[in-house]
Amino acid sequence: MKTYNIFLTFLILFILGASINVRAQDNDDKGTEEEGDVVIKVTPGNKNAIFKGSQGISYKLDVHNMYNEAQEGHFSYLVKTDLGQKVLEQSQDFKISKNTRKSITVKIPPQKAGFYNLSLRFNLTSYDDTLRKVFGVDPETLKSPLSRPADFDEFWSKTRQELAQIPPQYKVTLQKELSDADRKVYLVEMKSYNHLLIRGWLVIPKQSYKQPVHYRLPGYVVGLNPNYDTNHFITFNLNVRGNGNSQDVVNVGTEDYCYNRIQSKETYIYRGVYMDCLRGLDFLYSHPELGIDTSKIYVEGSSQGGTLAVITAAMDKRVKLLAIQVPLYSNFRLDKEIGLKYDAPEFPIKFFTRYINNNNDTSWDKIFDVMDYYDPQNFAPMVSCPVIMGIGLLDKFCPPRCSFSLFNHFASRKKEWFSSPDLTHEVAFEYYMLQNVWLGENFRLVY
Amino acid sequence: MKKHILSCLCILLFTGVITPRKAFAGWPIGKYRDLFVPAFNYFKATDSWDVNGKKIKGAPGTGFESYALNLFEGYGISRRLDFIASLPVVYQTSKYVGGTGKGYGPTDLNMGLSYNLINSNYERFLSVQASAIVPLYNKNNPNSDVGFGSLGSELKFSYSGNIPKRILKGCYFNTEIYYRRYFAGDGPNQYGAFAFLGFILSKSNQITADVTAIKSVSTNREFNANISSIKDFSLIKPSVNFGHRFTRRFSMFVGGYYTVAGRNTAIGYGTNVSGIFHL
Repeated sequence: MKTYNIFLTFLILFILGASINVRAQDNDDKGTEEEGDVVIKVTPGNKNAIFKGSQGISYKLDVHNMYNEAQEGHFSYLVKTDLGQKVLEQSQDFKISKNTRKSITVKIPPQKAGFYNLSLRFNLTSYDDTLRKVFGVDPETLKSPLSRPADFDEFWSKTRQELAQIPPQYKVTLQKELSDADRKVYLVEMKSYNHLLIRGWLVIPKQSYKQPVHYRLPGYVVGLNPNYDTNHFITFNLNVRGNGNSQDVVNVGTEDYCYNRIQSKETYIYRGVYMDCLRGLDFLYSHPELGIDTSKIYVEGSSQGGTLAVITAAMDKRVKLLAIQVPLYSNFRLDKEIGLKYDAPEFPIKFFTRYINNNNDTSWDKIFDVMDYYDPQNFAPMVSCPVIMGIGLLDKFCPPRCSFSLFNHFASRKKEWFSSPDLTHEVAFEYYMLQNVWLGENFRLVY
Repeated sequence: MKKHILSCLCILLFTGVITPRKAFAGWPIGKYRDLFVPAFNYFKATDSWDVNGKKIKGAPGTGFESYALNLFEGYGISRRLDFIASLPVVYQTSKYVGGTGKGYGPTDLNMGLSYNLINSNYERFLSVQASAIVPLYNKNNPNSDVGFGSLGSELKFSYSGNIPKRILKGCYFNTEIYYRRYFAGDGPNQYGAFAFLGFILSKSNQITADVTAIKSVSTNREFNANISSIKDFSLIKPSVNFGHRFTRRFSMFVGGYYTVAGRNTAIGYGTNVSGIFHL
């Protein structure tokens, strides 16, 4: 028997297995920039583009000149803080032969804690472009002041008492046409703050045991539908007022929603929205007969949903785990400062700016007077359950420093974060895989 | 024929070590999670390959038969680090020209740590495992002479995970290569490889196929009256299994295997039944 040949075969199999990974990574690669006929791949020294303050920051640029002529000119890079202050600017001659590749290493000296915008500029014979990246330094050491009004707790305590006075009148209706052999789908209706009717979708996989619950809250004016993505959790997707199928009374446009009735803290739309989230949780805890394992309910959301999830976990200690992505409105005062430094303001600062410009009797200070009651950062110290947070470093809706302002105020002993360096208002697929691992650990789940 | 018996012992030993691994295909167990895998193995052989790999027909009435129970325990210490322990217990009988023999009892305890070096999107994992091998029998007792009787160690690399859907839908894999060293002066040194493919048939059912290759190398190539001191052999063993998930915490696998190639070892077939408990 030619044993060595056989072992060589196994070794090849092992390497082939590993190459599956490499190919998958290559195909999923989001770091490749394709502009004109020069392709530039930008890779941060740390995969997540988050560096320690004691270490230098580095990027590797793989430049592929696909022109049939040499490219010559300048390569420069500019580092600014997220508030637009220049930190570093370097320029150098750059030349690359036709149809060849060249690597450049950008080295930036250690920086203090914060987030930085990096612009990589190529001004070449036939190619002129700027690639934009963001990196972070020691984000967990960032400090941000809370802007909690003196009567913050009193305000929310009173609001919760008002909610408690409203009979929920739960109505759970099986949706046969949406159900299948593996799960039942229910439309859930309930009365919430100010007696508004809100609705959600409950999906219950057919299992013989009590199941953990994934309680999902919606993004900004996003209608949630039944969640069929898992058989490991009961899923409850709640549409807060003005979202999805909860628009009977509150049905405002996308732009108007964020400042709807913001004239006072008592009337602001999010007062009811936040209470809707608590009412949804009340529903889950009051229906164990549906197979709900009330000891394993986690709340999750992205963007506005992330904020709503934070508020829910902060105000109701029955929440066992909190999973958020790109949480909106975090450290809203800083959000405004950063947002107004962009070339053009982005959501949500853009909407508030327009609102202020169109209303002579309001101002940023007046907005802050109300938003301070609603800024998720001010709720963060009330969160004590394990937290996982995902952010996109290129996110202009929820700047990464604002997300870390929130994160660093969580009182949770167990908290972790995940950064997607090449994404904007979203997180990479890998985050969700990590979130599954994290859920499994904390709930001791077997998938 | 005594060589034959030794070879069978070796097969048994390796089968016992490897069987639980395929049950969870090399994935990290997961922080705070327990995995317990009892596995029963039956093996029977009548023929053998000689030192040159030539097939030798066994004499009428001779053969080897063994029953083994392997207990595997894994515990997730952290997201990346697992504790693993494996303990095979065997009962075996042999019939050869001019006599019979038997051996029973625990064999080599394999205990160590597995560390996930790299993961790709938490779908594919490259891990390294280091473990110690401790004989739990008295080699001087003829009724418990069921192994090499020396301390050893093992270093294993595994790469496992889901196969990307665009390549093969509903499949997962595990590949392993390992080196095992027994600390006696003449070893042996063992080199092993394992390739595994699992096909998901439905929510509860799957079939798996794998192949194991082992090469055991020693300066001691001579036959010895003490059969457990014969240390030089090699073999290839493919296996097919069917798995059914009864509950989310309990699954069973049933399968069979056959030694298709080898040197200085037995030609035999076997079956195994394993239960997988996620505690």
